[in-house]
Amino acid sequence: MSARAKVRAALRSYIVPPLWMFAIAMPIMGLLKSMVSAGLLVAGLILYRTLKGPKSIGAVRRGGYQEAVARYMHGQLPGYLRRYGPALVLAVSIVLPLFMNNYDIDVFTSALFYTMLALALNLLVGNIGLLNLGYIAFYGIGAYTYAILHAMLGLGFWDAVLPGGVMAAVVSLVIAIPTLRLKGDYLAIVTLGFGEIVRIVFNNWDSLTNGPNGIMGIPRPSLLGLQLSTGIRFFYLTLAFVIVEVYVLYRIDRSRLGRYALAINENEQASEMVGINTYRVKAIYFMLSAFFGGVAGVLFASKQMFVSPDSFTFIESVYVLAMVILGGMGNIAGVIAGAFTLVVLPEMLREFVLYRMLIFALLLITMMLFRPEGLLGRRAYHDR
Amino acid sequence: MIGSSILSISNLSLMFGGLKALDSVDIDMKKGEVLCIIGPNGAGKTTLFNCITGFLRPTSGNIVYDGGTELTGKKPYQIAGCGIYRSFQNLALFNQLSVLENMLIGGLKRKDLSYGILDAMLATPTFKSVEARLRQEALEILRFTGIVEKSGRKAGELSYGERKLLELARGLITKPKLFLLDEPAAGLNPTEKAELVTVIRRIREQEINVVLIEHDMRFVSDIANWIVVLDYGKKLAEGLPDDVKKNRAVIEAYLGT
Repeated sequence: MSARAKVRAALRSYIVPPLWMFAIAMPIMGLLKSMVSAGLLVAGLILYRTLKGPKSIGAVRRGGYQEAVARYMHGQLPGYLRRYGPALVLAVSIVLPLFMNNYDIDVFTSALFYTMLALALNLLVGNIGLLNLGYIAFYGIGAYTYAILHAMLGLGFWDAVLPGGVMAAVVSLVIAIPTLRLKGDYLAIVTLGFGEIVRIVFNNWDSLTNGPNGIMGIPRPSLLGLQLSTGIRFFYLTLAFVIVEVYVLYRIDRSRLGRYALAINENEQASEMVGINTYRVKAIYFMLSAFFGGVAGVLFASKQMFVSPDSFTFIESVYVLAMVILGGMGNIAGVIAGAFTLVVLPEMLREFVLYRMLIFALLLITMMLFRPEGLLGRRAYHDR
Repeated sequence: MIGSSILSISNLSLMFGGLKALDSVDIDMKKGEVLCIIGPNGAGKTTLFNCITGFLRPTSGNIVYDGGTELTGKKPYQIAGCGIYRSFQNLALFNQLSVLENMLIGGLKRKDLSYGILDAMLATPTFKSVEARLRQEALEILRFTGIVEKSGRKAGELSYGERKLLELARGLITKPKLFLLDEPAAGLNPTEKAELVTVIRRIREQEINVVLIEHDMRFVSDIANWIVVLDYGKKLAEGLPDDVKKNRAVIEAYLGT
């Protein structure tokens, strides 16, 4: 590429996306707001490019291969942001709710729920490359396990957390064993069917699930005598669950199991050849993913104090999948960002409620066109 | 060292419908040998490798490894777990991952470099020291194969010759006892071939048994000390490189009558 063409390409990359955004936003948001958002996009692009750090070739010239490896692998974000970023996000999410009204806290809590689900689904879709279109079934199984255990045995929240997760994991194994030899679209179709079957079972097994009426009177949790019933207390409980999940997933990512998944996602034949039992690792991932979904389900049931089949429809599975794809498959921070975007954005666009689905669709299409790897991109390219 | 068998294949046959891809092949490989399998296209060389590594199941016959382990009927990952590594003609790398990551994945199954779930969850000193050792060994092997400068690059961005070396390097970190190489020299230029010969010789020095499939007779005579010739799935001849080169049946199979 000639120098001139390079300059032209660079300019185009700053001008074309904001123009698109302007064109899309104009009819909905009006002239001023859409100009502001196009401007914000330009600023964002410039910021993003600046933060991306030096390219590997330059690094090789400066500091030999070891430094080049380090730089290349950590090159996506500067060191201080990597180091203090998570702590910063955590601090904000602890302090911010203290200044929010109940409604906003509720939205925030709901974003955390979707974060839990999206992170767990990401284990499958992002890390090991198995498409699951019926993911919400595991959420439902967790929620119903708690509801039924409470209705029949009077178990409380803390007694139901593990059984809810384990139940989802066991059911996931039932579906995983016969289907894990399938790939791509075929697996997607089977899991889609599975998700529907689970919902229909909830709907029709009257004696156990009380059918379409659902189960009511599920208690909120308490901790050391403290009732976690108010919005803000429940928010902190959910946040604690998310933190534990993020920590576990982060460790998995950096351990042997995470590397197995990385290898299988990339090349199954080569994985077998270095001695990885691909079938077993996939089954483990299926179960882990379902387990976290089930635990989130228990939490969900205790928040709603009520479960019914309507909460676990196909569209919810799609919604969670969209968060994973939007945020960046295989990237923990990205998936969290994706979940928050897709929960908070519709709330902010409430005044355009008629156009909400339209905006949502345009957002996804725009993403596919300009950033198919998601907001934060496929997993940061680091050593693990 | 030479004496007991590392690999003995007896009466191995594989049918694809009516076609006999392998027809009662017997091969006995002694420890310490560099065995080379040659033959015209379609002779069944790669098929033989696929049978040994479990990607294909032979119709009949036995493959016995290291004096007693029966390989037929085992899955590829189990066979890999026995200490057999195989390189592919068309390469099987993790192209989107870095060279170093490819190596780290290769070392995943090493028994001497392992840790428990708790170690991984809590990032204990054991976990950290194992990871550090693994990384160090990976870099050493990369240095040894001459591609250490590329360790931060994506495997898919390397040149063809470098990728072949990476596949060898990834094999070395698994610490195999038997190393199967499917046409390692195909598509390489003379310089790269010379490098490859050096690397294979060094692999030999580590007491790893090497089997290779190759076409280039000069390359073969440089490193092999036993040659098996396959043709139409049958063993046509075997012997020392110089003897095989003079064998009338071999010359006919290659040049036609």
